[in-house]
Amino acid sequence: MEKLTPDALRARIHAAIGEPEITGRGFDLGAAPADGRRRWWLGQGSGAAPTPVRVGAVLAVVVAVASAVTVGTVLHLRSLPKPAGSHSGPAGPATHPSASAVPTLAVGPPVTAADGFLPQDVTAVSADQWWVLGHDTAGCTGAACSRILVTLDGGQTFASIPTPPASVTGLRFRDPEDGWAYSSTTVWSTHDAGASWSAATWSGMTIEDLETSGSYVYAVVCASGSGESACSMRRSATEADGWEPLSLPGDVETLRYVPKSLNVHGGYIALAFGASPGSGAVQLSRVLTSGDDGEHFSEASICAGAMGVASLYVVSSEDLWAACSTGMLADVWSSTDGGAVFTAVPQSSGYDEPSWATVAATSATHLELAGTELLVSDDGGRTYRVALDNGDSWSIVGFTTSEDGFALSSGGGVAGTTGLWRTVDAGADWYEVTFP
Amino acid sequence: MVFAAALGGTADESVQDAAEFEARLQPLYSEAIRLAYGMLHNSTLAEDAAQEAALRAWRARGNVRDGSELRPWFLAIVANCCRDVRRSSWWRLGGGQPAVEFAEPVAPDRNEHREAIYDLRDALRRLGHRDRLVIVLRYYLDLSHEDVAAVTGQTETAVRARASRALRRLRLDLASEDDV
Repeated sequence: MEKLTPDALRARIHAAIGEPEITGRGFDLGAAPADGRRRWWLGQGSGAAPTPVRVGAVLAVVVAVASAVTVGTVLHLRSLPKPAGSHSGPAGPATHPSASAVPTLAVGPPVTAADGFLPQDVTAVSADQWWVLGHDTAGCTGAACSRILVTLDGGQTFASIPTPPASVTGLRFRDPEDGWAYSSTTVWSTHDAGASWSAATWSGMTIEDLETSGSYVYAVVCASGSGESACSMRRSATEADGWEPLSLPGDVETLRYVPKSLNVHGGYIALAFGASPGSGAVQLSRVLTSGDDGEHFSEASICAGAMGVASLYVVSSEDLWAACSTGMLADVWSSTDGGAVFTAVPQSSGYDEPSWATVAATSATHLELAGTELLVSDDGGRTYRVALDNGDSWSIVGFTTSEDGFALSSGGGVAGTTGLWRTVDAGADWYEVTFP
Repeated sequence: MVFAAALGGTADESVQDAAEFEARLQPLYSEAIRLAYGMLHNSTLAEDAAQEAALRAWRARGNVRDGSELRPWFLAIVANCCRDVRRSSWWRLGGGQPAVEFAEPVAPDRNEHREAIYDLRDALRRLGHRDRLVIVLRYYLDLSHEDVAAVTGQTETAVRARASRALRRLRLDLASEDDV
């Protein structure tokens, strides 16, 4: 598409999208039935079954953009020194500190150019050992352009390890040997530091989220091939590759809810769902928690009066944080009793983070809120200061220790690419990770 | 009426409140449907998303801050509903089949540009939610950067950057196709 004037661009996009055929006569709040089950009046007049469509195009555009980017620098992979000692402290959902032996690393595909590597996800087992999943945008075209870089020295040097034979969108490592990468259809596991990967798939199921902590790895899966779609959880012992279903309460396992956030800490699990539009669900958000590795779940109310839960973060089996959408913006909620009761945090200094904001924390008082800025609070969310504001959009990944955390940026840079940012002082200062 | 009563107050009061709120939303109906259609490209799903947004707005009407406008707040809710639709089970029902979200036909007078229009539709479909939202708000609903910023909760500068980046992605995506 060549450069166009705004009017010409507008005309082309109008032509491409077209105009809707509106069958209803306007909003009709009074027509909703008593129990809030509103499927029958949504799309009134049409009575049409929902149209089947597919997802997963975002990756395609990343690959499409990536294939067009040309960068000349070559990424030299250095030999990996023995890592320094690990830090200790609370774990976030994305990272899993543990005593970390030095793994023997197999050599993966080269990443052609440092600034052609677009980070997508990060997982860490200590302050020194972490893995970054990304796309090689300079030296690779086609579907299998995922790359996994590992550092054993806190990001000073990186090495590429083998990747699964397909593009993946998420990555978690429990320890230097055991890790999982996943796409929408497949979970790949490695038990030899990435030297080999084994696939697990579930027919007709889409993999929505995956986390590991303690003795298990957990996956949230939703049916994708039948009219009776349902979301459920599976777990596998970390060293076994034997997946078993977990029982979730009631109507979560129906069409009514879509998973929003899976968080784990030790044997504690917190799973947030949002109501699927048109599903008839009365509650817009639900949080299920388990303190016994998913054997039993309890349900908590969250985001009451808000539009739904946008983000959930587990600091410990007692302290949880959530960002709840109020429409355009997000409010911060917290729980100090393991998710039994969530309450909105009263603000003494306002913030205006968007409804898709993410939250992460290291304690019941210290948290980060990320949206169009990266904000930090040391008083339980009552006041905030801006840690980063460079025009990018921000997403907090999590904290490895009470000091070490990661965030991903998207947007504002000249190249319009993503970046991986790290803090080593509990979010007071952040620096962008480079891949030398 | 029972529904209204369940939301608080007497049945009569709640029905009246609902009617008043509905009247405030009605001027936004067409715009809400068009936003949803721009995001979902299916008329039925667009109406569903807009209706869902209306109900969510009614439930959370207390969140409309004093002095703030209803329009950007409500359009943001519509956008959130569209995002949830794209994450919902229905959206996945197609499995690995080709997407049919753009199945509604090109207008007859555009037939001579059909291929180029379909290419642009596909490229729009491949944009991420946030990029697509900015493009739809700016170039389909013809909102100003200021109004787009109000809906997306971003600064105008961030909106301009995102729009620029999204257009760049469209161009790159179309680079392998014939230019439209």
